[in-house]
Amino acid sequence: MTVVENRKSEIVNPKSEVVVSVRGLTKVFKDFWGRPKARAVDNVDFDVRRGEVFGLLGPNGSGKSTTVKLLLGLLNPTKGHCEVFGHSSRHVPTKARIGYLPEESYLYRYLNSRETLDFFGNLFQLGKDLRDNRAEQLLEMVGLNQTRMRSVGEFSKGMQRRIGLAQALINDPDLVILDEPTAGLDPIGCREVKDLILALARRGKTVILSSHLLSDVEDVCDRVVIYYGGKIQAMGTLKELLARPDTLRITTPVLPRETLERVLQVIRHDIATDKVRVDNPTQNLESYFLDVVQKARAAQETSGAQSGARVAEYLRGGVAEKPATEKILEKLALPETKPAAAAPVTPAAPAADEKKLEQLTKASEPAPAPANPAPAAAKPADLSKADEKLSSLLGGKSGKP
Amino acid sequence: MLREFEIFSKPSFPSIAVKRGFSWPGFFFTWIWAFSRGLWLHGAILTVVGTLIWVQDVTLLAANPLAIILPGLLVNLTVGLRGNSWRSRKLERNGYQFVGLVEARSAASAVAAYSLGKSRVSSRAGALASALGVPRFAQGLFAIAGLTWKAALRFRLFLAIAVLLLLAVVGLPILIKDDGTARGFTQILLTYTLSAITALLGISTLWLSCGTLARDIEECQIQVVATKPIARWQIWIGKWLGIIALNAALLLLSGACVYGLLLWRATKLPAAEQIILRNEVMVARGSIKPPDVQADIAKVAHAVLEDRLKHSPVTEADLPEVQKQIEEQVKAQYQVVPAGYIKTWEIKLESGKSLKGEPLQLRIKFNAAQKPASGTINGFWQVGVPGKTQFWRSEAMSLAPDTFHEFEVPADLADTNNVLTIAFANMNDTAVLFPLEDGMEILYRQGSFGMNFARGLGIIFCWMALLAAIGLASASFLSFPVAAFLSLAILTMALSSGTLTTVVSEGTIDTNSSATGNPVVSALNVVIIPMFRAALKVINLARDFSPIDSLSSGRSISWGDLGLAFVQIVILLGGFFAVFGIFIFNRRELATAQSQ
Repeated sequence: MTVVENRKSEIVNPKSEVVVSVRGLTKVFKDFWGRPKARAVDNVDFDVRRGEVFGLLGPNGSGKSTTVKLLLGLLNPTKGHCEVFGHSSRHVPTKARIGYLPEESYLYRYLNSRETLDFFGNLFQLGKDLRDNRAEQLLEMVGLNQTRMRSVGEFSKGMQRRIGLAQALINDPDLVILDEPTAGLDPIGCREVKDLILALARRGKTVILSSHLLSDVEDVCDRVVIYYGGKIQAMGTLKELLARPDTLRITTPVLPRETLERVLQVIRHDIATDKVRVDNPTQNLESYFLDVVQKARAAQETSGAQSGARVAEYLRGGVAEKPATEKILEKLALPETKPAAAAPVTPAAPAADEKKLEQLTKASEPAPAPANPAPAAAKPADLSKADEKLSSLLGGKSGKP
Repeated sequence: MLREFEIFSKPSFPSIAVKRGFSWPGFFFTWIWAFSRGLWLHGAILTVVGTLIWVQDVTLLAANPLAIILPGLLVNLTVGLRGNSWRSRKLERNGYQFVGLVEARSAASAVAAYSLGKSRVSSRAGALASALGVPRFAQGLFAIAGLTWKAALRFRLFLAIAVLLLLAVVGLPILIKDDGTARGFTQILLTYTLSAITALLGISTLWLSCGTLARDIEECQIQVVATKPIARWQIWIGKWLGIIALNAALLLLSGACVYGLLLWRATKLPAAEQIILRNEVMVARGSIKPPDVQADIAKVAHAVLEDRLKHSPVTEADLPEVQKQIEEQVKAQYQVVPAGYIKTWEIKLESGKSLKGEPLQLRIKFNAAQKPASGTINGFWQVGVPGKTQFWRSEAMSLAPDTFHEFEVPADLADTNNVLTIAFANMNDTAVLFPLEDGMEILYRQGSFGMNFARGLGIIFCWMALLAAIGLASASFLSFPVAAFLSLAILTMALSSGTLTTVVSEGTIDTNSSATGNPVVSALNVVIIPMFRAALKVINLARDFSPIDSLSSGRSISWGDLGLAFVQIVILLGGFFAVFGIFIFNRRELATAQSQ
């Protein structure tokens, strides 16, 4: 078992401390005359427990960022309430335990990166030596130690995200709220951010991650909620959401062809041939997400962006174009990545099954690839490195202001 | 409330906890506290300094209450800010070692917690830095204030304003030539330059204060700041502190330039004008005016009105106008000196003791009923009563009406009750009228020009603090352009309060009808006059002070005036805008704006 699997297997004990509690949270934006303009968040309930990496997923304008801002006390709920560490989201001392990375770089353009961290360290009332120490280590961690004297306004978007991430961690927060943390980052930066999130979680920190990048969420989150039109459309652990309960997967090392045939024979004895399939039954998050959004769209309106907007006629040069969603669905409908459906999808013909089995058998020399091979294989080394960095940076609880 | 303690230990000695940051006992008890903590040298120095301040207070500065408080306050603050670090250093000199930090309610519980192993280690550098003075609770506040400074410096706003101010200070006297008299010289070097400084600083303060908060909200930086453990009122006050600190620096810089230029240019005046300058401008003079007779006027006017009503009743509508006219008539009787008559003033010299041997200046102003052919009014002045006190009598003086005149009278002319009698003989064919407000004034030397100038700048600084509060209050709920517009509108309204004064004094908004003596008493008047009166009262809280006029006429601006200005302008008016602004800012949703 890898480190990641270990962590995921301890999946959040429901009885553990609730860090964030949201009940009936509703936010209606109003116009100048007080008339409702948009219902950004609609009667949302969820809890986030200590040590969890919790994902807020949804298309643009679905209410993720509004939820985050309600949690941070930057917006006032129209109805319902949210508590962070058992206090109102406007409770000032509680904010000493929170780190926040907004969706854009909302930093002072005239400060350099060193001054930026020093300024935020001062807001956390950290002593000078602690501020200096952490600023140095954070700058190194986000790879900006060579540009510490350059104004943030001169930075590229990715560099601004990095310094934003550094400021979010200056107080060694117990709860880290990251809004689109990988937006604008290069692939290496994305990987580093994900490693950092996992390392934080391993240290017992709680992370709330708001994103529409499904791979981000899939790689690091224990539980997710999927928003559409301000409402929660689905919530649960990734395992719960992505598993297909009416289908059984038996995972074994690769079997000799004869053994497999015998096994299949036994199974076919009870189940019709067309119901048995030997392949990887895992549904990916992207298809699940799109499915949820499609269903939600059919049922209700949203005040956020609509997907599937067509490119203007004059730009398409008169060529009719299918909506983006249709294209995605077409792609998803290809045999290799069939979308999840309530009923298992059967293969076209037994001949195809045999072909596949043959392929599987041929590939028996190397070890079989696990369901999520790349990240799992890469994580142990990356994680230990990131954890080492974090431990030396944050020094246990010594940094608490 | 948990506080942070530094723990020091030494083998075979009990550990000692020293609080980090501000020491309130040190602040209040200075040398007593120092001795009680074994800081013998500090205690001795503080005792000597305290005694010196006390002696100075009693002998030199008895007249200036703020001057008594300030040096003492500085010492108290120094001990409060540095006291704990003095203790830490002394312990280290005595062989104790810093072993860690503990958060606890008291020193005893900090030591107990340390013995249970509940400490975290930090370096002494941090402890020293922390002891440099910024209390923990104010760390965020000062960070915000510092940020305002950095913004002003990085955007070159500070530089631009400083250059503009220096141009105004140095350029105005070069562009506008004075007439070579002390008065003309003062007019340009003090009145014009200080007015220009006030105007420039005022506008930039409003602009900066609106911008610093409104733009933070519009560009969303406030979303990151407000999610840190700093209360919104601290963000607001931090920005206000930053702006007023900026103003203080700019005012100090430009004020020092004006002062230096004044001293330097004064040496180039003719000798006679230099004497006038020294006696009438480069001095802080106290002022004594004749007793207020408004109550007497009202009483007499009331009696006259009663009498008049008995003989010829007037309608209810006409009554206010009649009353006003009678008051004017009675007031004129108090002010007028008919042709060939003598008018006397008896003025009690309140601070007579300090005026012994001091020559006095009479500052007078009069109007003539008819403009004399020569353009001047002739008269004799006599100060003192022949046969009763020493007295001084002028030669025939020929002075222009409608302007201020000053002339010196010898010292010690008051009677045994310290009452000075002044008489004016009107030697013209026309009546002469001395306005009650500023017709007669006795000026006497009270202090040096330097301190007076500093106090004058102090009052201008109070205005800037108020403008900063107005700008921030507007920006608390409006976007930058709208907040700037609103703030400027408030400033313009306050500066052009002449219309309000006219309306209130005439008792009607229909000023034309008052000319005919038949005011229109409308429902509008009933609502608007009290509103205007209240607005005037509020505006006058800030406008009651005229430091530039006082400085250019060599009048003393007392510590009391400065204190009053601080209370009225900063505490009352600024406090009102601050409470309003903080209330709105606290309730405002900060994440409704999207970054551009």
